[in-house]
Formats: sequence, C-alpha cells, structure tokens
Amino acid sequence: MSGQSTKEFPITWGMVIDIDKCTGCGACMASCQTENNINPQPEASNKLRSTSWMLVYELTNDKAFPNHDIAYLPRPCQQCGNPPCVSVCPVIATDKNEDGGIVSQVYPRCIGCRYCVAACPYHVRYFGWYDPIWPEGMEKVLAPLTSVRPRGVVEKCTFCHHRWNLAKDAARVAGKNPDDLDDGAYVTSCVQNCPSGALSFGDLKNPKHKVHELSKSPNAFRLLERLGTDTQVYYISRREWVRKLGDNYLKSE
Amino acid sequence: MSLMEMEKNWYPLGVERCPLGKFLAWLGFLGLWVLLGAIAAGLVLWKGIGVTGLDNYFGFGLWITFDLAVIALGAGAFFTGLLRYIIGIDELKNIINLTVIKGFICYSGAMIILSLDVGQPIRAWFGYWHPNVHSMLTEVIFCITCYLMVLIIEYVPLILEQKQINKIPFLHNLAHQMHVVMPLFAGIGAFLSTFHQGSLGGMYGVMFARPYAFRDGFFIWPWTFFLFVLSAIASGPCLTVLICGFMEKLSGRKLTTYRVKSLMCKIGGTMLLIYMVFKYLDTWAWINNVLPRAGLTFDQMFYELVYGRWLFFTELVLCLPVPVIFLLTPLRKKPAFMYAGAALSCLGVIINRYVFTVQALAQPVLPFTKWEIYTPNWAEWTSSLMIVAYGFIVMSLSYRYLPIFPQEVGLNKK
Amino acid sequence: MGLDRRAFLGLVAGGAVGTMFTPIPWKLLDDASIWTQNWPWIPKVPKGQIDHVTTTSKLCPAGEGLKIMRVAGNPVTAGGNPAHPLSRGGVSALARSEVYMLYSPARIKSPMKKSGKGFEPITWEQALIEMADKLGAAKGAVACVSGDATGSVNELLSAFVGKLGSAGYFMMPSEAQAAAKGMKLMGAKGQAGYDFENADTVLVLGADIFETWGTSTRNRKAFAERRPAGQKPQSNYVYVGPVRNNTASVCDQWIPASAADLGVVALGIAWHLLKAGATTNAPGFDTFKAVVNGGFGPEDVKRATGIEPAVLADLAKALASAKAPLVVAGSPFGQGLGAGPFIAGMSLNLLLGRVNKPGGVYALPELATVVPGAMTREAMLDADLPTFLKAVATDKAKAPQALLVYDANPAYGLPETATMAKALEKIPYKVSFASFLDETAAMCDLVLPNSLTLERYDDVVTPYGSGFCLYSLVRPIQKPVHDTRTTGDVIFALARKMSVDLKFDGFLAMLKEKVATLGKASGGFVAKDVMPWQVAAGKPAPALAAGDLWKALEAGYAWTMVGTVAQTGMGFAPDVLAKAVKIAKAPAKTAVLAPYAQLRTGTPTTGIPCQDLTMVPDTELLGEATFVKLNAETAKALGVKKGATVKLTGAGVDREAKVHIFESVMTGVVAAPLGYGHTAFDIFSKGKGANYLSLMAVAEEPGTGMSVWTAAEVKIA
Ligand SMILES: Nc1nc2c(c(=O)[nH]1)N[C@H]1C(S)=C(S)[C@@H](COP(=O)(O)OP(=O)(O)OC[C@H]3O[C@@H](n4cnc5c(=O)[nH]c(N)nc54)[C@H](O)[C@@H]3O)O[C@H]1N2
Ligand SMILES: Nc1nc2c(c(=O)[nH]1)N[C@H]1C(S)=C(S)[C@@H](COP(=O)(O)OP(=O)(O)OC[C@H]3O[C@@H](n4cnc5c(=O)[nH]c(N)nc54)[C@H](O)[C@@H]3O)O[C@H]1N2
Ligand code: SF4
Ligand code: SF4
Ligand code: SF4
Ligand code: SF4
Ligand code: SF4
Ligand SMILES: [Mo]
Repeated sequence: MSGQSTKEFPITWGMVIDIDKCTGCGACMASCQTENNINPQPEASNKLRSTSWMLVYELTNDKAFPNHDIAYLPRPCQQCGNPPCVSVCPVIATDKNEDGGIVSQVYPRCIGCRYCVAACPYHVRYFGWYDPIWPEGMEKVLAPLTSVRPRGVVEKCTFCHHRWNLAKDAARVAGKNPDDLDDGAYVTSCVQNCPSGALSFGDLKNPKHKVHELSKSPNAFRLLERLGTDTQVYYISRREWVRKLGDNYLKSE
Repeated sequence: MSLMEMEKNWYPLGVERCPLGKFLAWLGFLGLWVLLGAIAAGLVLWKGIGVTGLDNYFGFGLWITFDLAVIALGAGAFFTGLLRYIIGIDELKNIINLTVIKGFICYSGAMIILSLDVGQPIRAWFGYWHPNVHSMLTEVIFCITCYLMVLIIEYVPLILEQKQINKIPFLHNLAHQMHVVMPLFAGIGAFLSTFHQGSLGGMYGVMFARPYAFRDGFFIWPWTFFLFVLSAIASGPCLTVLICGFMEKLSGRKLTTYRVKSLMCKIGGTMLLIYMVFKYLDTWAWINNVLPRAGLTFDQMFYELVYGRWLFFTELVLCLPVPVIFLLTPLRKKPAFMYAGAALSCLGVIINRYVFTVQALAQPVLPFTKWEIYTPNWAEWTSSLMIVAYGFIVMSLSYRYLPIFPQEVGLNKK
Repeated sequence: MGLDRRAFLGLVAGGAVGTMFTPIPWKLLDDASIWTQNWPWIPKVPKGQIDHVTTTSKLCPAGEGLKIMRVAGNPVTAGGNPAHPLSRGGVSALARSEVYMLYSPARIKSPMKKSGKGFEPITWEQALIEMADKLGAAKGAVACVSGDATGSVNELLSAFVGKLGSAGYFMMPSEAQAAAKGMKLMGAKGQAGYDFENADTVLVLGADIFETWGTSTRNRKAFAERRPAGQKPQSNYVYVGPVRNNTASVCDQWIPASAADLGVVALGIAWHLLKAGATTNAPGFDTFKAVVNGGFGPEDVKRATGIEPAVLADLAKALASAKAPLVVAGSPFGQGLGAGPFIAGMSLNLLLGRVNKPGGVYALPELATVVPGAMTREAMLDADLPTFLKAVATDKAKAPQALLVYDANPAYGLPETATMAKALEKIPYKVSFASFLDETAAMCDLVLPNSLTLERYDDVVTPYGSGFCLYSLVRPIQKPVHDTRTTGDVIFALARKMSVDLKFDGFLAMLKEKVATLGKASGGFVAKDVMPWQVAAGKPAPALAAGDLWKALEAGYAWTMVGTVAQTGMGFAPDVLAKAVKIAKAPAKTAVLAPYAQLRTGTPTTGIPCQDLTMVPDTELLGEATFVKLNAETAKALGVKKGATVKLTGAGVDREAKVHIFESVMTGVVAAPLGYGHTAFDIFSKGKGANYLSLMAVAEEPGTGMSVWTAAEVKIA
C-alpha cells in the first residue's frame, strides 16, 4: 500500500498475545516501567500525556448487560515489518536495520520532531514532555541496561533489546550459537513477568520456537493488518468479536 | 535637528509617513504581543514542551498548523518571483518587494516556531548531518532552511536600498550586484519552494497508516505533494493582495494600482481553479479507494462539531468554487468580491492544513480507540501570535523606511 | 580606510573558510551533541556487575517468590522467581514494586514520636525506653492488630501481647477469616486450600481469584497451564459475582449475582446436584437436603437472583460430570464475606466429594508454633476486629490501654472507616510498626518503621488459598535504606527491656527454629524439580535433606507439604446455613455497592505503588476523582448520567464519585474501586479519589455472629 515493502530478516522476534488469558492486571506495564527506566508519574490519568511503552486496552463488544463482554489487549510496539514510523524520521533516529527486526529508537539521535508519533497508528510512541524525575533516592534502582532519556525525544518499546544482547552473551559464554538462541533464552520483561502466561515471545521464523506455530493459529490476528504494516506482534482470541476489533471492516465485509 | 526631523530623513524619497509617536505606540503595542509570546517560548525552552497543550496523540498541533499555513501563504514570494523574473511578467515588479518581505516573515516566523516545536532544538542540524533521504521531513528541513537563506538574500538588497544606507558606495554596489543576480535566486527559490511545499504535503500523504491523510500518488510522491504546491501558489498571491489592501487601509495611502492587485488575484484564482479540479479528483479517490481499502468510510472521518463535516464543506465548497468565481469572472473588478475571494482562498488553505494536521491524528485508526480532542493552550497561542506581531513589526518597519512600493509616490501625488 | 570592497569580502570569506579548518566549529558541534544527551540533571543508570538474588514478596499478599536483579550489589528490579511454586516466574504489579518502594516518598525514615499534630524523630533507644514504660503501665490491656496474614512474626507478637495481658489479638479482615470460621462451624479442622493445578472445572463464587484472592499469581499460573495459547482450553472456569471483574474477564462464563446472594446461588446448585442424586455420609446431610429443598429450588433462586433455572442446572451438570471439579467461595473484594457463603460453597465440594482430593479442597494442617505462649493462626483468625472496634466506638466495650499495630492500617482499610477511626482515637497509647506513613501511623503516638522486604528477615507461611502447606523465606539483600529495623527484632529488644521471656534472643534465631521444625514435619519437601501439585496428583514426594533446608530456603526455594489434617466429622452445618443463607429482598430506590480491589492500587499498608498509577485507567481515576461503574439500566433507574459527579451515601457518610457507564456490572449494582481516598502516604496516593469502604455498614451474620459487609446498600444522588 505504501510503495515500500517488508524488510526480511532471518531472525524475526515476535510476540504472541493470548487475549483470552489476559486479566488486565497491568503487571506487564509495571514490569516495563521499571525495566526500562520510565519515571513514576504522579498524575498519570491523562492518558494522552503519560508514558507506558506497554499499554493494556480494555475492549468491549459494545452490547448492553447481560450480553456485554470485555477483553484486555496489551499493546507493546508492534515492531512493524513495514514500519510507518521509520521512513518518516528525518534523522534516522529510528530504524529497522538489524536481525531480529526490532525497530530501534536511538535517543541521542532523535531531534524530537514527533513525525514518527504522528505516523504510528498504534500510539506506541511517547514523547518526553518534561525531564524525567524520580522521587529522591529512587534513581538508585534505575535498571542498568536502558539509558535514561532526557526530555524532548521520542521513546517506545524496544522488545527489551538489551535482553537480547544479554542472551547472546550468555550463549557465547556457554559455547552456543548466539544467532540460534533456544526458545526462552531471550524473553522480554513483560512476557517474563505476566502471571497469566498471556504473552509469548520468540523467533517467528524459528520452527523450534513456540511463537512460530502460535502465529499461524486460526485464531491469530494482527492489528490493522490491511494497512500493510505487517507487524511482528500477533494476538490470539477464540472470540470473533475480539478478532474483528483488530482491524477496520466495511459493513459489506 | 530634532529626532523627529532626523527620522524623516530615513523615509523613502517623496513619501509621507505617520508621526513618529504614533508609530512608536504601534510598535509598542505589537511589542507587547512579542513579549507575551517570548515568555511562553522561554518557558517552553526552559521546562519542555510539556507546557503546551500538545500530547502523545497530537504530536502535531497548532504550531505545525501555523507553520504549514504560514509557509503556504508565504508562497506568494517564490511564485511571484518566478512569474516576475523567470516568466517575465513585468508588471509584478510593483508588488514583488512586498511578496519578498511577506515570504521572509512567513518563513523566518515558521523557523522560530519550529525551533520551539522540536524537542531537541540543539540537535536540529542532525537533519543535515544524519539525513534520512527517504523522509519527506528531511526534504522539508533542507529546502526550508535553504529557501530562508534565499529569502534573506532577496530581502537584503531591499534593506540596502534604504535612502541613508544606500549612500554608502560599497553597500550601494552590493545592492546593485545582488539585483543583477536576483533572477538566479528567484529560480533557486522557486525550485526549493516547490519542493518543500510539496514535501510538506508529502509528509501527510506518505503516512500510510493514517487513512485520513494517506494518498497514493505518482512515483515517490503522494498526491498531497502536488496538491500542497498548487494550494500554496493559489493562496500565496491572494494573501499578498490582502496584505497590500490592509496596508493601504491602515496607512490611507495607495501603494499599488488595482490593476496589479487584480492581476495577482487572477493568477491566484487560476491556480485555485486548477487546484480545485485536482483536489476534487483526489477527494473522490480518497473516498472511493483509500478509505475502503483501509476498511473505513467517509462518515467515519468526522466527529461531532470539532471535527464535523462543516469543515470539509467549508474547505471544499465555500473556499474553492466560490473564490474561483469571485477571482476569475468580472466580479473581480469589484473590490468587495476580489478581497472576499482572496480571503476565502486563504481560509481554505488554512482549514486544509489544519485538518491534515489535527483531524488526521484525531481520527481513531485502531477500532478500539476513540476520537480525541486537541485544544491548543495559551503557550501555543501566544507564541504563534508573537510571530504574527513580529510580522507586523517587520512589515511596518519595512514600509516606513524601505522603498518597497515603486508606485507609491506616483499614486499619491496631490 | 584601506579596506576596499574586495579586501573586505576576501577577509570575510577567508575567515569563514579558515575557521572550518580549525577544530573550533567541529568541537562546538560535538559538544552540542554531547550536552543534549548528558545533561547533568538526568540521572545516570548504574553500572557494575549484574546478578540475581531471591527472596519472597511481603508487600504482595500473593506471596510470590522474587528474583531480584542487582547491579553492583544493589537491587534494581523485582521479577518472579521461576523456581517458586507461588510465582513460577509471574509477578503482580504490587510485587514488582518491592524494589523501588524502598525509596517511596511515603517511607518512614526513622522512629518518630507524636508531637502536637506532627511527629519528631527520636532514636531507637528512646523509643524502646518510652514503649517499655507505657506498655508496662498498660499491662493487662494491650491489644494488637496485625495485617500480616502469613508471617511467623504473628507468633511473636501474640506471645508478647499475651504476656503483657492481652486485650485482644486481631488480624485485619481477610478471606482466611470467613474460611476459618466456616471450617470450624462445619466441624472441620485445618485451613482450606485449593488445588487449582489439578482442577478441571472451577466454580468461583465471588472470589477474585486472579487478582486479590489468596495466592493469585499461583492461581493464574495454574489457570494458564491448562489453557495453552492457541489450543482448546483444558479447563472450565465459571465466575459468579456482581461484576465481570479481572477474574471473570477470562472465565468461560460469568453468571451475574450480587455478593449478598452467593450462598443462595451455591445452595441453588446444590438443589440440582441433590436432585441428580448426589449423596454423602457427611454429618448433617439429611438436614442439609431439607434446607436446600425447602427454600432453594430453581424458582426461589430465580426470584432472588434473577438467574434462570437452566443456567444453574447446566452448571450443576458440568460440575457433576467433571473429573476434578472445584468450588471456591470468597468475597469479590477480599473481605467482609460471612461464613455462610463459605459453608454453602464448601457444601458443594462435599456433595461432589472433593475434599482432600487432587484438584479439590485440602484441609491443610497448621505448622507448629515455636514461640512459647504464641497463638495459633486458627485462634488469631477467630477474633473479629470490626465488631470489637465498633463496640469500642459505641462504648459497649472497654478500649484497650495500648494498641500495637503491625503492618496494618485499620484507620483506612476497614468498613465503616469513620467508626473504626473513632474507636482508635479512644485508645490512649498507640504504636505503629509500619513501613509507610499510612493513616493509622499518622494517628499513633509512636511510629517504629519496619524494614521493607528486601531489608529484613521474615517469612511467608501457607497463605490462604494455597493448595499445599508452604514455607518461604524472606531475607535481607541490602542494608536498610533508612533508619528502620525489623519489627521482630524490635519486639525481642523490647521484651528484654521489660523482662518478658520470649525464648529467643532475636528474630533470625526464631526463624531458624521455625525452619528446624519444618524438617520434622513428615511429608514436607523443597519444591524444586517436583512441585506440590504434582505430588498431590500422585507423584512421590522427594525426601527432605534436613540439614540443607535453610540453605535451600535462602536460595529462593520453598518448603512445601501436601498433607491434610485428619478430620473427625466434617459436615454441612445445616443449622448455620439455614440462618446465614437467606433470600434477601432487593432494595428499591437504592443500589448495592460492589467494591473491587486490585493489586495495582496496593494494599491499605502500601498505598498506591508509585509506578502503578500509570496502570490505572482513566475510567477509574481521573485527576482527583474516582469513578463508580454501573450499567445503563441502573443509571437510568437512579437518574444519573455518564460522567456526572454523584454522591454515594452509606453507613452514615457520603463519598463523591464520577459515573462510568459499564455494561459488565449487573443491574442494580454500583461497582466501586478500592485503594483510593488516602489521606496519608505521598503524592502518589494522597488525595486521589475516595475510599468507598467507608460506605459499607458492618452487619452481624445470623447464625455465625460474624461481622459481614459484602454488599452494602448505598443511596446515590
Ligand atoms: N552487557 C553489557 N555489557 C556492556 C555494555 C552493555 O550495554 N551491556 N556496554 C558496553 C559499552 S558500550 C561500554 S562503553 C563498556 C563500558 O565498560 P568499561 O570500559 O569497563 O567502562 P566503566 O565501567 O565505566 O569502567 C571504566 C573504568 O575506568 C576508570 N577510569 C575512569 N577514568 C580513568 C582514567 O582517567 N584513567 C584510568 N586509568 N582509569 C579511569 C573508572 O574508575 C572505571 O573503573 O561496557 C560494555 N559492556
Ligand atoms: N545514563 C547513562 N548514559 C550513558 C551511559 C550510561 O551508562 N548511563 N553510558 C554511555 C555509553 S558508554 C554509551 S555507549 C551510550 C549508549 O547510549 P545509547 O545508544 O542510548 O544506549 P542504549 O540505551 O543501550 O541503546 C539505544 C538504542 O539503540 C537501539 N539499538 C540497539 N541495537 C541497535 C542496532 O543495531 N541498530 C539500531 N539502529 N539501533 C539499535 C536500542 O533499541 C536502543 O533503543 O550511553 C552513554 N550514556
Ligand atoms: S501482565 Fe499479563 S495478564 Fe496482566 S495485563 Fe499484562 S498481559 Fe494481561
Ligand atoms: S508499532 Fe508504531 S512505533 Fe512500532 S514499529 Fe509500528 S509504527 Fe513504528
Ligand atoms: S521524533 Fe525522533 S525518532 Fe521520531 S521522527 Fe523525529 S527525530 Fe525521528
Ligand atoms: S517488550 Fe520490553 S520494552 Fe516492550 S513492552 Fe515489553 S517490557 Fe516494555
Ligand atoms: S557517549 Fe557521550 S562521550 Fe561518548 S560519544 Fe556519546 S556523547 Fe560522546
Ligand atoms: Mo559505551
């Protein structure tokens, strides 16, 4: 649709999210916040201003009681195969250029023009409206592997890219091939901590990884597939109304 | 000699200007607006863009709308330059200086706003150092900064022609030399401007995951690329005429002939007609192709009053065929119609830039999200008004001291 | 002057080009880019060796084992410990906060003494002297309130208070209380434990098992295991309750019913089971049958709850035909449920033959106490704090002379909050052992900060809900951030000062003794390669290498035991049921308040963990206002509009709320979030919304005498 096409990588990290298991508890959001050094936000009820790389949406089938149903949809960066956000960046501060297909976000390069924010339809990108502030002393618990962003740049979920580096290091130390990691050797913080096991992570292209098969489930779908973003995040639900909410459809469809 | 008398020596030859006191009061009034905006700007730079009403849905808001509108309306400068120097419509020499100053104000103003709008202004030059050749915004950064330089080069000789400054032989010569090469700069300016007007449109048209703005196109350029160029060169000359008319009203002096203004309006109107044809085709293709492909309908592009259909119809009906008729038929002979036509043409472009900037982002693409409403806050309004006031100041000073209207002396002989 | 035009231009151009060959512009550009990423006020991330250590969460009631990431020895993040049976790698939003809450602005930084309206810091020694003096004077009338439902510290506190002459040892109200009372009335022994791992059909009556009820993280892991992504679920979960809450949202079926009617629904199901021929020789069966047939037939239940007879018939059929059905009854917000609904739910387990069976309910034995004079958990759970405080408030009971408050916030976390606070005010001397400056601490005369999880030794002993006995160690992995101490140690020091003999000379020694007793319990093992639910399902339990137990516990493994208490006649308690489970009349012009709690808003003692505010949706908290949820039909009947600010009145007080129309709340019910409306703590908790618990009037449950408050009536205007 865009005239560009999906970049292919031999390793394609992807997430498969089982919506039917997600209780909407927010533990994934909590995990992400602290893994990736997002500062606590005393006023976070303005959702258009607060930062949450992982965001859990509440979906409803829009029916009245008692036919009403709800579902929770956790939304990390979809790591689009054909990312609308990348080609627009004037300074290559965000790119999809390496194995794994993770869309990078290079903070020291970003000029904060927010064009990528406008281009991403998943509301994945967050801007630093102010300098980040931690309550006194709390900066001591900053996680070591994600740099703290100054204000004025855009940030987003990186699939905990640093954990991939750690996993590759560990593989090398163990004498294994860092380019052929075992299933589960690299998982993101949100995936690891979800108490419901609603999130799975792995190499979509690697048949030895669970997500490879899961992404092909008849109940699997992706968000806004028809726009051609070709995302690396899949959702699974047995409920048709949930699957339908993943994209826009005309009445005739 | 008193200061009052001395100041008179700085006027262009043979013209009258209002008393210095009145002029200073006017500047003081404008200065207040500049001060207010400067406070907002200072706060933005000190604390962060959080002090504005922008948010993670509306990364683009009033500022970008303002920039785009101002850059489109400033297009009179390059387009008139093109017609005057390259195509050779000699009559435009009577208004070309005004268009140059207007262009300079619009572009320098937009640059000031942009430097507030980017999160890391100190890194703004990364656009040159680490350019992404695929990004329309890179093109915009390049062309706008280059074109602002061209505008400065075009503006400088006007300043040098100031009666007192021109007495210095070196500067006199410099002004002369610069005039000689002006067609070259007009050409460069026209090229750069066409490109960045297009790229600004392209910026929206390439957002393939934003069906409100996305457009297919020709080669690497989406249709909005061409539509933005056309709408800019249609409205640019119209704004020049409006400014000229406004200055005449304010000063009570005739600055150009009605014929010149009428010619500008005819040019604008012609461009508007061409634009209208393409814009209608584009809208038709958008409704029948882009939107259904995305699984969306025309109805879903509007929401309540803020993003209502009235905006669509105002832009596409009230501000297109109506001004075309006003500007291209004998109605143009009547000032009321000519000015109304020019004003509507400008209004249409402003609405166009607004909906592409704000409505395009407000429209919920994810089916489980909803329309969000954006309201610019005081910091955005005052800083934008600061640019308007700044424009008035530059224009007032230029009018008072620079010989920008060749016809002024003749037209005001008693 | 000698400068002509050529020379001038030459100079300018030459200067410009020349500068380019100097390092100046390049250095400036480079500096500029460095400045923009290294502003001194942007904190730097720590560098150093990364490692992981383990402990157990005390902030989160789900008792997860934690894996703490450290950098250069300092903890930085808390994740779930994959080797721990209550975590299996999962962690709640609350347990995740264990690390950063060390630096919460609400933390109490040193011992403090009330001084006028505020506090002044004092030394630990001064505090101990003052306390020894005051408690000595109050001898015979010292009470204690504990909010720690799982720690052995309760043994110590109860023994200490007992030796001073106890005026009562109270646990903060919890699910465990209704269960303990229910078990007792049924003639059963032991703590009810639920084997979710081996159950295939689970009927959940009210309990928010995947959010705040019991071992919620473990419950969710068990749920997830039988629901492999992309495949047909291998279990069936049905939720009965007033709101499609977090738990119900993933269940296969939601049956709307008011929390007041949970017992009615259970007996309604029993009716179908009995009709289908269910029988047992448990004591009281015949009377039970008569009670059920006498008032809980399909039409009775429909009249009372609106549930169609076919729905319950199908449900009964599903339970009866399941291999391993399990019924769990609890309060949708973790407190206030009477013993009646619990017994009604448990009677289904009896009818289905699910007691002490894999995938059913286990009656878990209590671990032996080690402190002489300590109360058993069973005894502690027997005391009823709301009833006691209400009596104190209304002068029907004598106020204790002194009160010790451990890890509890009764001034905020009890129903009829205003009444409870009034009672607390009548107690002349109060000491709080809190970690955060909560509402109760703010009322106390002395505040003695307890070290947080990562700073202290402590333990987690068989949390309510766990399907097996469990002991998990909490160990310090860093020095206290502030001048805080482990309360256990403070009590021992105080006891020494007051010449009270508590056998041990420190809390660590006491815990070591506790662990030593575990080695003696038969059937216990360290869950490593074999998990307790596997043992329940038939796998042989590994042997316990006794000498290494402490080491294994320090390494983050849990000691577990699949055992049951020998029962002598667990029965239906039909007389209690007949009184406690009543078909209630539906309120006319009022609505039923259905509170719900979520771990992301913390507990009464933690306040809202500061990172967790981001998790709260704007349909729950917006600025300073909290929302109540009701469906469109209810809103219409009550005449309230979407987004409107309304006043809810109950228990003689009123609270503000905004209206959120939400169709997953049953008609006639107003769902209200708990965890808001703090008047203490920090900017992350204070002044955010209202505390709707305060609207809930405490009533006495007929037949059991327990205080109950699951479904209060409120007026809305
Ligand atoms: N897992 C993982 N590993 C990583 C990275 C990662 O992201 N993940 N990042 C990598 C990167 S990008 C880097 S730069 C390295 C950093 O790794 P190192 O190069 O080890 O950097 P530092 O940890 O800062 O340690 C530098 C040492 O130099 C000392 N020092 C400071 N000034 C001077 C001086 O003037 N003279 C002398 N002689 N000593 C001095 C300091 O006291 C300190 O002990 O780590 C790399 N390793
Ligand atoms: N606060 C703080 N600041 C520091 C340091 C520190 O320790 N603390 N260390 C300093 C040092 S030594 C360094 S090296 C810098 C590092 O500074 P940064 O470059 O900011 O380091 P990271 O945060 O590790 O990585 C930045 C981004 O690069 C993306 N990325 C990772 N791999 C690739 C890739 O192959 N291609 C692309 N395009 N993107 C990729 C990641 O997703 C991440 O979003 O920080 C310096 N500044
Ligand atoms: S942690 Fe898991 S269950 Fe909780 S909201 Fe996230 S994905 Fe859903
Ligand atoms: S989800 Fe958004 S930010 Fe992420 S790759 Fe896609 S467009 Fe870019
Ligand atoms: S905000 Fe940063 S990452 Fe996004 S487009 Fe602009 S420079 Fe690129
Ligand atoms: S993958 Fe990592 S960065 Fe992305 S949402 Fe999950 S925890 Fe956050
Ligand atoms: S990390 Fe800092 S010093 Fe190193 S290159 Fe980047 S800006 Fe320069
Ligand atoms: Mo580095």
